[in-house]
Amino acid sequence: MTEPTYAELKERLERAEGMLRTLEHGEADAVMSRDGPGLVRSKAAISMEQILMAELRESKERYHTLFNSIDEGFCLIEMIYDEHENPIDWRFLETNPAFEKQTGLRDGVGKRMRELAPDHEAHWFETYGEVARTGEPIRFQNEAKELGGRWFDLYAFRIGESGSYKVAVLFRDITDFKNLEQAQLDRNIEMETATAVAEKANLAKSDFLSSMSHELRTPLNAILGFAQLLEAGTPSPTAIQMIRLNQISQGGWYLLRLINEILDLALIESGKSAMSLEPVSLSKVLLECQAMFVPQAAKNSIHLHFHMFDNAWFVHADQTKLKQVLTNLLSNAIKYNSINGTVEVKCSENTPGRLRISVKDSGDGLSAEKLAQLFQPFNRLGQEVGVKEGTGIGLTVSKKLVEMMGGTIGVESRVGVGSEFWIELERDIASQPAATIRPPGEFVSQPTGNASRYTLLYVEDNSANLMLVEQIIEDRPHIRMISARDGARGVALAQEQLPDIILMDINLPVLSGIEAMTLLRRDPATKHIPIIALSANAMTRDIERGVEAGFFRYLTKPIKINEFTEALDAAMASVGNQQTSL
Amino acid sequence: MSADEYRFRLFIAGNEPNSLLAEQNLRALCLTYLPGCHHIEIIDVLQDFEAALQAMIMVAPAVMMLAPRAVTLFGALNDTAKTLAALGLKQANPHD
Repeated sequence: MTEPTYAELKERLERAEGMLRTLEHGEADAVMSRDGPGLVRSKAAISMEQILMAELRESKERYHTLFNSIDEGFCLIEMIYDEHENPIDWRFLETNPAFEKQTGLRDGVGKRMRELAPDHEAHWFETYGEVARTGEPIRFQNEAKELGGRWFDLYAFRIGESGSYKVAVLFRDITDFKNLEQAQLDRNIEMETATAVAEKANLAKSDFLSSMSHELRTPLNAILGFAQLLEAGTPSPTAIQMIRLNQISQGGWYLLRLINEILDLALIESGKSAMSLEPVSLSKVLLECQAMFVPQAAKNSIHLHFHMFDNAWFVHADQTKLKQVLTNLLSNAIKYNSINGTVEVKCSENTPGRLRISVKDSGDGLSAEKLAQLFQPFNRLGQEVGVKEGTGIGLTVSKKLVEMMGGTIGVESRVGVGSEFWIELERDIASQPAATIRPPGEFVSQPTGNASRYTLLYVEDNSANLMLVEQIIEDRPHIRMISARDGARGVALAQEQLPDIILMDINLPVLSGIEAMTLLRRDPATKHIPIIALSANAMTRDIERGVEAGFFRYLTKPIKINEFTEALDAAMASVGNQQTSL
Repeated sequence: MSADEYRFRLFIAGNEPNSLLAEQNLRALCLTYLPGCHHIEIIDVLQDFEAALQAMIMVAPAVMMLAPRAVTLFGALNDTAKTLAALGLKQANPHD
């Protein structure tokens, strides 16, 4: 409505009417056509005149129709002032047909506004008074309560020179639009609130899962630890007891895997899972995966084949997370394969700049319906009634991880033939060989013929764990164990007793295991003591960080006895080396 | 008041009767109501047909007031009262 189309229209109409009237009254001397002017009294011009008259009548008709049907309201008003020159009212000089429809005011012409709507808001009079005074046109929106609470979009301009009290107002009823706008606004607020609530709830859920997982892991430590002690203890359990112990262990390890997966998902969903993207060598990661899965494949009679590919291929990824994804795909491919099946791992550059790693199995394949449900958390595609264990979280986690690395994950499957899961990651062209991560030390467990006593300090606040470790080292008489229940006491005891090896929990009261380690490393008297971390923070990243931070080893709970004794032996060997080198 | 505060462009057709009337009427009106502050430009559509087309004047005689505001009137301008009203020259102005 920036253009007062009404005024334009009015002008054209008046022009057509004026020309027509002139012709009809015989006041015209000449008429113009495209070819030139023609005098009315000449014979040649007669037909021209008639054509023009017909045209003018037609446009007059058209303008009239338009003028009447224009849905913009129009009125020409004359302001009325009080003795102090304040605008207090106006009189309608002219209105168009839409005026009545838009305002609900009938037969306005000649009447005053106060007469028609006594309580019309004062600001209307002030606004139009200002337009008349300054000659500045104004465009605005406002509500007229007296006119049934209608909202109007208006354009007002002065007609005539300075001193003229005439104001033309063009307007449109925008009540419906305003209502819609308000409804939209209300809806947006509602939606924002709902979204905030949902996000909060999701965060709360993730936090809950995360803390619950930690809580669940602690009693599992006891279950798994003592089951292992019973299995290895003397007197040896009977065959029946062995079967029962196996059941306890199996159940325990399964529960642990489940908790870890839930924790993974919770961490990713809460945004706490940090990514560190760097050039990662595909051949390195795949070799590690191969080493990891060959035994499992052999156990299941699955032929595992890694196809050769360009060694110089690097992807832009987080090494740990990439390995986690591939581990998941490989473990699924083995788990859901047919007997004597095959698993093929291939790499290719299908799209320039994107490397695809695919894991193809020869299992049952998936129907279209099942494919659609893939990647949804806890959806095991009917496997929940089957014999194969799983949480149905693995692929959901994989998908999220791949997407966080800027990649895509997908699957192609044919029922009865097998499935091919693939991930695609950005190729790292300017690849520097990834920072070599120190491979886990290949320490050979050495029987310590040395009869010298070793002192082991175990800093741990959980008594079940303390008891477990105490019992593990019970049959190692050359090790004496002392313990502290918090980080600060642990540091004090270490400085006082100078133990040979320290076993350190991470989540400790007063001082965390990391802080305690930092203090001990700073003290020249204790800085040489190997410290083995023992923590429920079981994420691979935590382990890498722990080793980087200076722990001799980083073991995760629940304690796996073999792993634990191996770490203990390695620490003792390193102490022995230190002693000999001194 | 500058001499040409009111500027008119009169479109006529040679020496045709209505055109002569229109010119006479306009000059008389200006002398009476706008003495010393008007300017009249005359265009003969028989000579300058393009000017008429450009101004969308399809009938002569016609007068366009160009300033102080745009108004176009057609015919011989015989009714002075109507012409004055149309040109906005006899507005009842409460402040006058």
